[in-house]
Amino acid sequence: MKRITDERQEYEIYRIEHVALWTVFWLLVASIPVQLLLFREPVMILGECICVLIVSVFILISFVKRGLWGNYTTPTWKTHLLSGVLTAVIGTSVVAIPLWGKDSFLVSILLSFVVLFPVAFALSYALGVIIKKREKILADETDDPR
Amino acid sequence: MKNMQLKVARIQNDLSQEQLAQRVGVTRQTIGLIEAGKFNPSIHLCISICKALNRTLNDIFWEEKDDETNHG
Repeated sequence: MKRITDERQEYEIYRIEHVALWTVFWLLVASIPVQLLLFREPVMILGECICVLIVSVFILISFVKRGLWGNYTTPTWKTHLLSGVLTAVIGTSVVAIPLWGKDSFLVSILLSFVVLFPVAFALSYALGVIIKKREKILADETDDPR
Repeated sequence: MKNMQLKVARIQNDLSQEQLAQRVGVTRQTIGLIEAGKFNPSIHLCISICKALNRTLNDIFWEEKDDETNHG
């Protein structure tokens, strides 16, 4: 189908879609703990978790392919540490909701934090290394030695 | 910042915003926003506009700074 918009219209459509789709994404993410709080049944949020996972993997692969990290941070030790802590805190909070009041609560959230932190930290570090390499490869492709 | 060079060149070529828009394949609103300094066109669109108005990129899109004008 032939595009009938000019570059300004296309740019404005991108901006509208950008805001709208990120809003949908974060609302979907927020709906996960809210539904857990309301229903306390992890199986109820399976669909939302799958959708968030698919979109997140797509974003990660796209960023890696183009050698991009983000708008406001660079892949440093501080960023990886922050990624690890944030993921562990958020993940542990989500895990804690359906377990609230149960005997295994403390052990479970402690275990969750201990597992999530190194996994998230290692993933962030690995992505940082891969993205830096990819960025160099892409820069070399258009490099002019003269 | 308003692009007065574009507006002047368009009027000198006796073209309305609509006519210029048709020549370069964009909407009238896009030409209006470029003249008003509210949209930065791509280099391809800049070249199309310059060709349609028989002007160079410098004529239409180069912004002279005060200090450059004073020392140039």
